Order: sequence, then structure tokens, then C-alpha cells
Amino acid sequence: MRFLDRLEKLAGIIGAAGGEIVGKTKIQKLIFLAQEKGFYLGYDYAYHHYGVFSPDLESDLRLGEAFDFFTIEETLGQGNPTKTSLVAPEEYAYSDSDDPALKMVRELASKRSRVLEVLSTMVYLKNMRYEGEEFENNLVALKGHLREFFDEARELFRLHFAD
Amino acid sequence: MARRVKIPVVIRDPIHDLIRIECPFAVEVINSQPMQRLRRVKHLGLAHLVYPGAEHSRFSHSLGVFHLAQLAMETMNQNMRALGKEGGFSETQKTLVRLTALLHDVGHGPFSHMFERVAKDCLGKTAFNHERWTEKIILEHPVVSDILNRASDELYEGKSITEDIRKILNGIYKPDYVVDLLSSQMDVDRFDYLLRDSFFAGCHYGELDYQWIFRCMVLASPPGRGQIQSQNTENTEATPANRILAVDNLKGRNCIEEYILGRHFMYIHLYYHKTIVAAERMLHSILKRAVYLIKQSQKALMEMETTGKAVDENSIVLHPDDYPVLKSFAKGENPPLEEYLSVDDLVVMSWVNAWSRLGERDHILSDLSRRLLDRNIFAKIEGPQERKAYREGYESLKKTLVSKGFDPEYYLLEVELSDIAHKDYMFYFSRGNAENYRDIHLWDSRSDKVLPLGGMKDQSVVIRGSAALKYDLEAWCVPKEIQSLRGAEQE
Repeated sequence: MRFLDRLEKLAGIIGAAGGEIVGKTKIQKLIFLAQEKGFYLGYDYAYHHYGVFSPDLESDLRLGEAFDFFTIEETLGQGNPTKTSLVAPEEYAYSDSDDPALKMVRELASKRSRVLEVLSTMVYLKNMRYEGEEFENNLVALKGHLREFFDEARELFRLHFAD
Repeated sequence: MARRVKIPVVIRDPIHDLIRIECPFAVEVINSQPMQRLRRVKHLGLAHLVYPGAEHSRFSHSLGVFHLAQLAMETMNQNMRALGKEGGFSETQKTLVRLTALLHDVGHGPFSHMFERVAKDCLGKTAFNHERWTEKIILEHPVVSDILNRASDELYEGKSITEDIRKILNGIYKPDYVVDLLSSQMDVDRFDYLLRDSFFAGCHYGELDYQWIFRCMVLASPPGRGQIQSQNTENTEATPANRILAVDNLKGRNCIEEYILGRHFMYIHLYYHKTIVAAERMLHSILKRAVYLIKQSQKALMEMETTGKAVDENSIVLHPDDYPVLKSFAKGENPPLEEYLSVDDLVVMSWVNAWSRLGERDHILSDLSRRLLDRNIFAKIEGPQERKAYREGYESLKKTLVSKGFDPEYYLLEVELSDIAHKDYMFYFSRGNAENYRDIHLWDSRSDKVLPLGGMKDQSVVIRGSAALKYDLEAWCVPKEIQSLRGAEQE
């Protein structure tokens, strides 16, 4: 029953984030970071223009909705979806969990997507075993346009992902 | 010492006719042991059980990707010149793309994704996927790393081509169009596998007009960034990092539509064919059982070592030392590179063959192996798309299996498959940030503007419908006798 178990865990992460995550981009980053912190769901991530992305997670979001684990609400604007919210019922919330990954998700859920985009890129680069100057150069090459969020992301990186 | 190679090397290929290789380092890479191993890794795993012709290898696919990458770069550079636009793929970029194209699949294990799933079962997050193995090969394999080091010195202005290949494989190389060409929703990897798989499987949905697509391709700035950018000099490294691949909307859009539909149908009829998927899950189950038995043997051997008592032969069904890669999995470790490279499809199938004769020494492993060899493939039962019914269906199947003497751990296999014809990243597009999505892009030659395919819905019914062309399947695979039993019960 791994399939339903995984979807249930996914709903649990939305629950841990306060029951609602606004933006599919944000959930991609949050799940990546939760996995990196030890809450492993089995999603493989690749790096796209806007940062880490898992096609399998994208499929699971669709299936999670079909199997009633959470709902996806879209707010349309100018002909295109501009805001997507994932809402999980309370029964899945790991609100009292001491799991460090879920505690981190709770904290990160309130951060701006851009901060999480930079933070997840930092973790991705760390996984590629970049450090020092190489780490910085790659970060600027990939996310230089989000420089204003570097300090906040760096602090979160130090708190949650530094060795 | 590297062997001197004669160039050009010309290889006959049923898909692309003649593949011409003029880069001596590419020839050396092809001749290296990790690349030659790909001759023994089938591109479509167990698909030949349904489509008997689908026996082609990752080796021929890698050559095809190399050829298409070469052709795409040459054609695009010609297109840019014809349009009076400067820029294009530089000589160093061409070298980088050629070598990456050749090596992009070199880390695949036997039966590719199935083997990765076994590793993931055993090692969780720490399991290496094929991309990580590819990285290890280019960094650590003595022959491959030496070729790449020499290529760096002679053709790459002394910079590390290995490092840039690694960046492409991880999707972080700039400029983006280099990554796009090799790994995106419309890349030469997909083009070759669709063409090749169509040809060898004999189901022709994946045939696409790639030559015309290349003819219509340009390098352009992403939407919102203005127009196709000109550069001061051609073939320099000073290309803007934000440039992407785009296809002429007027001339090329129909070919893109054909490609999107063709790919989707290939998923339905080939990649997600129920029997092929069930056979791969069975092989997964076989390897899972083998790892379990090796773990048991390790325990028994360790006990013997600590107590000094003679080991009970019956507890050693599979000796760990006979299966070094599986032994590593059983220990919760990724195997050393040399051991990983020693396994391929032939090795795994020789194991399965031997295991099929285990008989009562391990009935589960023996029975599953026998079934796979005899093409007695598990049957599919579709799972209800409703949570409660799904859980109940699963539990009921489990009971039936147990009552008939089958261990559900190995005989009740879950399948979830999902594909969407075109991933519409406009969905992710918010706040007008051009960096924020990756899509197939179309270029309007009259206005010199670029739009993601997802933003062209008003112009094409195919594009409008493609995001809704989904394939989702949740199912269970069980021995055929269980399926017929259930069928009879339901009647």
C-alpha cells in the first residue's frame, strides 16, 4: 500500500505546513527540503529553470486530489492560473509531531517562495558537493536575479542544512 | 596510454543511416568499457516480451542522441546565419554537447529504472540513481576520466569538460539552451528514443519530423526578455545565459503538435503497456527476494563466524559473495563503481535463469523466476479511483493471495503510472518571471517574440487539449490464477 501511504504522507506535509500551501512551486520546494531533512517520500528531483522540480511529485499532486487526500484550488487571473492552493483536511496534520523535518516545514511554509527557491538551490548545490567559491559562483549563476533573498536563505541553510 | 584512433568513424544505424564521428575523444569514449557495457542494457527493458523486435540497446540510443545533437547544432547555427542573427553553438559547446550526448545514459543499470527502484527500496534516499552513477563514471572511471581530461586540454581551452558535463546532467549549466537541447520537454534524447523505440517495437506513433523541427529552431531570449539577441562575435562563449531553444511558430508548430501526440500515444501503447509493466514489477520482486535471501545468508554467516559453529547449508540459499552488487544493497550500501559496472541485463537474466531451478530451496524466488522466463506474466487488476474502495480492494486481494499460499509481499504488486502529454509550465508562471518555467517555446518570426507552448492555447486545439491528455493508472498485478479466481468470484 505504498501508493496510498505516500499520498497520505504528502497530505501530512501540507498539514504540517498549516493545512494549506499556496503555490505549486512552493510545495515542490517544501517537499524537496523535507526529504533532504529526512522525511523521505521517494521523489527524484531535477533542476529546472526555476529550481528543483520533481515530475513524480507533480503526478502525485494530481492523484492526491483524485483520491481525496487534499484539494487543489485555483484562482484564475488573465486567462491563466495565477494562484494554486493545496488544502489538506486536519486529520492528516502532523501538528504535534517532533519530527525535525516536519518542524522545519512548519517554519518554512510561511516563507516566500523565492526564499525557498534560493534555499533549495543551496541544498542542491551542497548535494553536488560544491563548497566555498564554487558554491557561491554557481549560486549566483543560477539565482543571481534573486540576490535580495540570499541572506534570509543563507540563515535558513545554516540553521537546517549546514553540517 | 590512450590508443590512437582513426577518424572519421562512420557507423551504420537503421534510424539515422550513417552516423559520422569526427571527434577522436568521442570515438575513445565509445570504445571505453562503460560505454560498451551499454550494448548489454536494453533500451526498453522487458518490452520485447510484448514487442519481439524491441531488443535494441542503450548503446545504439546513445549514438543516436549524439548524432541528433550534432545535427541540431549544425542546423541551428545555419538557421541563425540565414536569419542574419549572430551567435549559436560555439566549437567548445559543440564538443561539450557531443560528449554529454554520448555519455548521458552511461550510468544506467540493468533494466534501467527497475534496478534503480530496487536500489531505492534497499537504500532509500542514499540510493544512487543513474545520473549519479553517470557522474561517478565520468569522475572516477580511470579510462573515461582520462579521456575527458585530455579532451579538456586539447579541445576545451583547458577548462574542465568533466565539470561542465556534470553541470548539464544536473540541469545547472548555463546557457540554458545547451541543457534544453539535451534535457527538456523537447530534447534530442526524446527524439531519438521515440524514433528508435517506434522502429524496433513496430508501433509507429513516435515517428516525428525532427529534421523539420531542427530546420525551424532558433536560439532566442525567453518571453518577456525582448527579441532574439545578436552578438558581436560568432561562436564565442559570451552568449547570454538566458537564451533558450525555440521553434518557428508558423513553420514548425504542427510538427511540435505531432510530436506531443506521438509521445503520448507511445506512453499508452508501449512504455505503459500493462504486460511490460507487470513483467518489470515481477523482476523487481525477484530481485527484492534475492536481496532478502542474501541478507539472511549474511546473518547466518556472521553467526557462524562469531559462534564458530558450522553453518546450516539450507540457510545459505544465495551466497553473498556470488552477488557483490546485491550484497552491497543487502548491507544498505551503494556498490563500488567497478562492481556496479559488472552487471548488465545479461548478468541479471543469468541469475534469474539459475534461480528458476532453486525449487524448494526457495520456492518464491524459484517460482517468480520460472514465471518470468516462461512469460507467465502477472495479470493486471485495475484499482478503484476511490480511497476507501482502493484500500478494501487491496486488503481483499491480499487475503485471497494468502489463502492460496502466495506471499503478498512478492505476489501483490502495486502499479501507478502517470503521464501528461504536455507539461504546461504556464501553470507555474506567476508574477511574470521569465525564469520561472521550462516549456517548449515557439518563436514568432514576424514580431520576433517568443511564447511558451502553454501560452498558445488560443492558436491550437492540440495545444489546448494536450494538458488534458493524461494517462493515470492505479492497478495491482497478481498471478493470473488469482485474477481468474477473482473474476469467477465476482461472477
